[in-house]
Amino acid sequence: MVMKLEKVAHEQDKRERFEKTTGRTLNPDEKTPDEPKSLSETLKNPAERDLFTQLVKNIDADPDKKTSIAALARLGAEEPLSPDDLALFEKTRYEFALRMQDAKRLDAMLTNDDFDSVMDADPGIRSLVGTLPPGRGVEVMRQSLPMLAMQDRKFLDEFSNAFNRVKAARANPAYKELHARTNALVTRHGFTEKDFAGLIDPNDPTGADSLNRAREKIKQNLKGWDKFKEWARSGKLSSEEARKVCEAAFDIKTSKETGDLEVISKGLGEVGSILLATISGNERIMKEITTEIVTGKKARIAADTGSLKSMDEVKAGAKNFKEADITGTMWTRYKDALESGDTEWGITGDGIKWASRRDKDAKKTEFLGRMGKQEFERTGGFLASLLGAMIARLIGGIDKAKLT
Amino acid sequence: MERDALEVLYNQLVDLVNEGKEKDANALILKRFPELPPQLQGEILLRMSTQALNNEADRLEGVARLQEEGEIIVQALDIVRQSLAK
Repeated sequence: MVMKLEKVAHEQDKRERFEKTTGRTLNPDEKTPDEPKSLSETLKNPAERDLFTQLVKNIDADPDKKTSIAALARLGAEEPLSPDDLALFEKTRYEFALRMQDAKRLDAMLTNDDFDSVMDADPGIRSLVGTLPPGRGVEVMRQSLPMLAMQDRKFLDEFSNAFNRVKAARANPAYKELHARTNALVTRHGFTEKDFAGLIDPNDPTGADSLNRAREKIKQNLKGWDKFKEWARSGKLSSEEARKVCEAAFDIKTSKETGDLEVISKGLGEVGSILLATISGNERIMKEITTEIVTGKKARIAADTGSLKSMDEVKAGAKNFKEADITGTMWTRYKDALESGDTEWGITGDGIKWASRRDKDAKKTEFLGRMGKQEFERTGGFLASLLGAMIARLIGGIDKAKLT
Repeated sequence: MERDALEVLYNQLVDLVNEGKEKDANALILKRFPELPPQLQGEILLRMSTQALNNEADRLEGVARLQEEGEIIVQALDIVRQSLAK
């Protein structure tokens, strides 16, 4: 479609204005966002006013950004704003419009069924949603999108990327073909689920013991995986496959460790059991065990490349961290300090440091952010997400009365 | 739930985590979840979902890699077995 000259000029002006105001250069194929609403129009709407306030606070929490909280407080108190005040909000106004646009786009993109499938990714999510009236879980997730966009613009991208990754992996024809080939392979070699079936006790009420037994077996069998892979690689990489495989066979034959047919058969059985786990008809076992296998493999690779300390060191570190008194007491001390004078609390490399500082709110945000990070490091899935969201809310609630 | 009550709940959860009682922490939040502000409920669910989706994507991609590797290994081991049996 050919655009009229007037429209082209208008689009160009809009793009230039956007780029100049936000300092962000758009890609040539990227659509220029619509002109944002005026400040007064945004602030008339109570929901948008809360969102805008959140955005200003978040931008202010970044030390590189100019402080506009004071100007926002003047606006809330209906005091006259200076041209400088208004200038401070100009970029924020654009940013607000962009983030609202992101939230709306994601809300429109996801169906209720999509949200429902998201809940299947973790039983903990289902449990929480189960405490709410039917349909309410999806509703609160949708309603939270704009606020999350204001708190952390990257979050929405992370969410949609994760959603798309799962969707793509499940829909990928290559993935399905691979699954079918694996099925054919294990059938051809006579591998059956009897290994698992023997480990599953029908009287096990939760299935937890059965699962642990199956997982243990897989972990043992996984030990030989990389070794087999190396052998296989020597037979796979060249067009002279037969010669290479014969060489590999010779190596195996002459190796004290693996020098007989029985070892090869055992190896085939071990590899087969792992492949079986990836296609097992027992959904729960398949999911739990493949998670174990994938995580275990990742940990081994990381350990091999030196990016992960030994498991014992990691465990010892976690134990020490848990024993450290970092949160409840320090939070109380920090609050006491703030209330008693212009004192700040901070952590340096060698311990706690006290100093004077004016911008208490920024320090408080920093404190909570730091705590949040530590909580994430210490706890896994369910609690990490939960504490992270609570911290974000506690930060979001700082001196709200003063700002609105 | 007021902000102060939220802070109390947060501190209770952190104490339980610090004491290694993660099951108790999970039980507490399940009990109190309906009392949380709707906005926070949604944020928690979305943050949990992001993490869970990434884990699931890692798993699916990892399984595909395993199956590819496994296919090669089984074929190679099978050839080796045949050559040894001769």
